[in-house]
Amino acid sequence: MTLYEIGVRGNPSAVQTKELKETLEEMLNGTGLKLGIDVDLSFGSGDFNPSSKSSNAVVFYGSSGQTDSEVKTALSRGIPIVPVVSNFGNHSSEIPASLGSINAIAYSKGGTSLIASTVLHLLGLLRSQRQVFISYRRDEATEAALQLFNEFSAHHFRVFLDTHGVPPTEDFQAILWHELSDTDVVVMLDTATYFDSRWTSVEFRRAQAKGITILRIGWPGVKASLRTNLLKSISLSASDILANDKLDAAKLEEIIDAVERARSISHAQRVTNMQSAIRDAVAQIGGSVSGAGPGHLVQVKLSSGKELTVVPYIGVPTSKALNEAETRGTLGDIAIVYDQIGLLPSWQQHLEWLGGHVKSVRWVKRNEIAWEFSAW
Amino acid sequence: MREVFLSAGVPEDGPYAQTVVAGLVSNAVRELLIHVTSSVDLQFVWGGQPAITPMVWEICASNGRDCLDRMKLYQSRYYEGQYPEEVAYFDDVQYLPDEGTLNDSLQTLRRAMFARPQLEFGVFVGGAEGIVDEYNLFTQRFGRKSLVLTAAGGATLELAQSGTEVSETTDFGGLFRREISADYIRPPTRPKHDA
Repeated sequence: MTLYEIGVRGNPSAVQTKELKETLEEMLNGTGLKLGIDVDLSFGSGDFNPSSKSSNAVVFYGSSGQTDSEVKTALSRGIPIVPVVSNFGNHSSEIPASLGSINAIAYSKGGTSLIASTVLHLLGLLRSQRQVFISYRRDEATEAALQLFNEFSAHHFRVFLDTHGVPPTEDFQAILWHELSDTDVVVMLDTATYFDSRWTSVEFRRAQAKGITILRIGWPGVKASLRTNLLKSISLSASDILANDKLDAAKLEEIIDAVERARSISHAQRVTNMQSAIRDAVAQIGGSVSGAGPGHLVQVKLSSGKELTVVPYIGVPTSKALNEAETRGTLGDIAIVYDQIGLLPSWQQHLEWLGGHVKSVRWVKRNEIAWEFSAW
Repeated sequence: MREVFLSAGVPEDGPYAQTVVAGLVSNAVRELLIHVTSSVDLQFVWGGQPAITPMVWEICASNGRDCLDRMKLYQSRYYEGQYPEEVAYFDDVQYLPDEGTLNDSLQTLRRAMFARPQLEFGVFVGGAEGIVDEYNLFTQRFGRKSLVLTAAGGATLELAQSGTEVSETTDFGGLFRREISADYIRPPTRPKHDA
């Protein structure tokens, strides 16, 4: 089933089309995701309007006289667009006005590999964005955890082990749960004593409130905690676990597939939720969305006439986000919108302190957008 | 005060487990909770699903403690001894008796919730057979608006098949803001806890 959809619109040449297909194939090689099956490359001349259940992006090859008819829906849905020009000098003649504020990629400069990596980045598919956390109890599932570690690594994931052992202070890696972002998945190996020993009520409900994607793998005979009953759960039977305590190949594949599916849905939802919240808040205060920026940027015009660049931050914002926003040099002031639900109050305070030190950029909580923008 | 009821679940077994999309169910629940906790003139009603109660408390706390009294928890004593600890954090819990069987206890629970005169909206997402029963009972009273979210699959697809008006969107937040409109602009509040 299609997890990711890349629209190709505008006027790509036969060479550009071939290059894009081959480069994407090469970059996806090793992830296990297949171009044409998991990642759909959609060529055509109609308005790009993909399923909302997939993570989407569109590459728009500009040319002289090109209109935005094929990306009208993408613009209104907040689907990120990557405009491509032959070279920067031809930008105004090749790109329609509605895409004017988006930094285009010059085919003559970065070429197809820059286009492909930009698209994959937008979809959350770059290796640096493919993170999975395996949470397990050391004396109950070490073999399976290490097996999953290897398997996920082979599929181009960065893997972190959240080892809960006896005594409880011995952990391989300290995971800062509040730093998990939208593309990260936690795979819980729910063995006999895992859940109650690993999760306090506070931690688990915070993870839920933050919308962290968790996949439960239930060991044979282990009753799931009632707290987990909104999670996707794969229950193992005795035959799924081999004599050496490893999981059988079919189950392994099922788990990988479930992780790929869960992360693509999670990413798509985060983008949808953010774009929708921003657009609705802007409409509510009489402003309008005047265009899209690179990545998931939204250009906004407030009722006062003031121009604002809105950066929806997916994940936990850091000082790096502030820095990047500042150096972007976009139109007007910059508002970084983030989802604060589930963030530790101490983290929020830190963000507010940090935000107070940078003049042109301000943090805005997702459910305070209308309030903040109306008084900008 | 206008009230919103939620029925949500992720079945692990049975036919509905094939179509349910857990990530979309939990996202819909989250978006709804963000909406109702942020809107000062909305109250939220739910039947104590043990994965939902902790989320309600946490999201409420994230938005400022003063939303807690707008959260109306109904708890069936059929599950006595298995309540998530967060049940104790709510001030105003309605306990309904254990009627001997699960079905009878759920019926009592549902009747109590649906008797609320200001209950106006019902959100149905994912779920197993129970969600269809709840929908049928919920809609018996005139003037109620149901949002049946089929993108997340599960038993809501049954409702779609029987000709009920449904929503296929995955933009849950947008849907709630449009259909359950409420005053959204309010002064920022600071979370009052740091556990």
